[in-house]
Amino acid sequence: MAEPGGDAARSAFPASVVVAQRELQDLWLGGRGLPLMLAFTLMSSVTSYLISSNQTLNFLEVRESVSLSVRVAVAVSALLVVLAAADAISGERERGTLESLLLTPAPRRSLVVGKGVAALSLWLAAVILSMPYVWFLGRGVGVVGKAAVGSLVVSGLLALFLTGLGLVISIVLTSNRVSLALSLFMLVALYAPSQLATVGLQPSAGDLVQRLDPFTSGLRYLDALVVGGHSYGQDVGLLLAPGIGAVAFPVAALAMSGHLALFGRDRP
Amino acid sequence: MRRVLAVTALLLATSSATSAPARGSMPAGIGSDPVTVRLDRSAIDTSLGGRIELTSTVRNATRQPMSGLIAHLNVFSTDPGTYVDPEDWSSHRTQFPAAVPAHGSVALTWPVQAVNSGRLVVYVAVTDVQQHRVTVSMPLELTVSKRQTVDPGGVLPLAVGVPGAVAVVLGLVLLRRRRTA
Repeated sequence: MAEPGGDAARSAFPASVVVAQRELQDLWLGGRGLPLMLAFTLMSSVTSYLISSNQTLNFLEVRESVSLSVRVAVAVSALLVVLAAADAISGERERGTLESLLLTPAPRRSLVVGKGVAALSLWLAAVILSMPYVWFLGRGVGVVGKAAVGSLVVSGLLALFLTGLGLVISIVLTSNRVSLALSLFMLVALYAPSQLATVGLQPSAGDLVQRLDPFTSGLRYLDALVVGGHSYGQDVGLLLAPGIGAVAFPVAALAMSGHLALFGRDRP
Repeated sequence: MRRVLAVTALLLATSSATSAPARGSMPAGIGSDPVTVRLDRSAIDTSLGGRIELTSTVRNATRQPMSGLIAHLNVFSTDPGTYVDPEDWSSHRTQFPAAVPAHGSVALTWPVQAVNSGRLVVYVAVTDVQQHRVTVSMPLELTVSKRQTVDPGGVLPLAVGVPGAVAVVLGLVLLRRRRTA
């Protein structure tokens, strides 16, 4: 990343803005942002093609098609965000560019905020690019609006949560590979219960697991909204876990940013 | 002579009773099964994904009302290479019909969706748990044709257009980067 200007580092806020601008510029004009979005849209196209085939063969209802499409978009946008956040600090360390960043007058918190904003921009772009597919699959049954708002809210909360989680891991760990691997493992571990549902668990225990896991509860909220036709407020309790994660982990990342060092905490 | 006739009648009756379970697999309406089941059609042509509704008629040939019958729909492929999961074809494959009146019948409807292509066979079996008897309908021959389309539901312009637009933006950014470098 290019070093943020010293003028902007007079206060934390402008420095954060400058760092975010530079990070966004690096990501979208000189980095992986657009190739990642190309890969995302190609995957969305293949998924939508298959979903549409199933819809044509009457194997999938329209609401189920939209729900499936939204689920894929939420999962993949979460993957993009967690990869960008996990690479944010430990990647700079490994590339040997963190030292020059730390030498700039920009507060360390601003560096973390800027990196977080860049990671979140991937989520926003992915959600925007997924909308044409959601519209196409859901047109005619009045579910597109709910699916769009629901996916924006749920994926937004999950993106904030995973940005915070990825940044915390990236701040702590020296090795970028370990940071990426751990973040991916966390993502898979959080996503798995949504696929396994509550097989083999008691109803109450299964429900508890689903409510505690931000991914599962967020996706359940989306399902209730899109497939079940529930109102926005009917299952709002399911947004509690993603909401807590969306606040707690970014706050933890900001709290740890003061201790941002050239080497991670895993290195003595 | 009377004794010979009585023995012959007894032998015939015994033979009829012992062959009753085997006759359950015979076509409905043939023989003297107390319960028969018949499908409303013997052959159907449809295409993959097509929804059809079959009706089976369970008839009670006895003088007593009959209860506790269980009707079950099954489907299989005649092609050994095709795996068919009947659960995919119909989510309501078992029905518990109400008591069938003496010499009466009940009609059962079966919503079915064609999930595999090829030649398949559908039948309905009725089990009388109390009498340990299974009666099977005549097979319905189902021919499911494939549906091949390049553009299902008109999704192709969108599937090509969105990545195409992103690729164009990416190309422009790369071009700009090369010029400024």
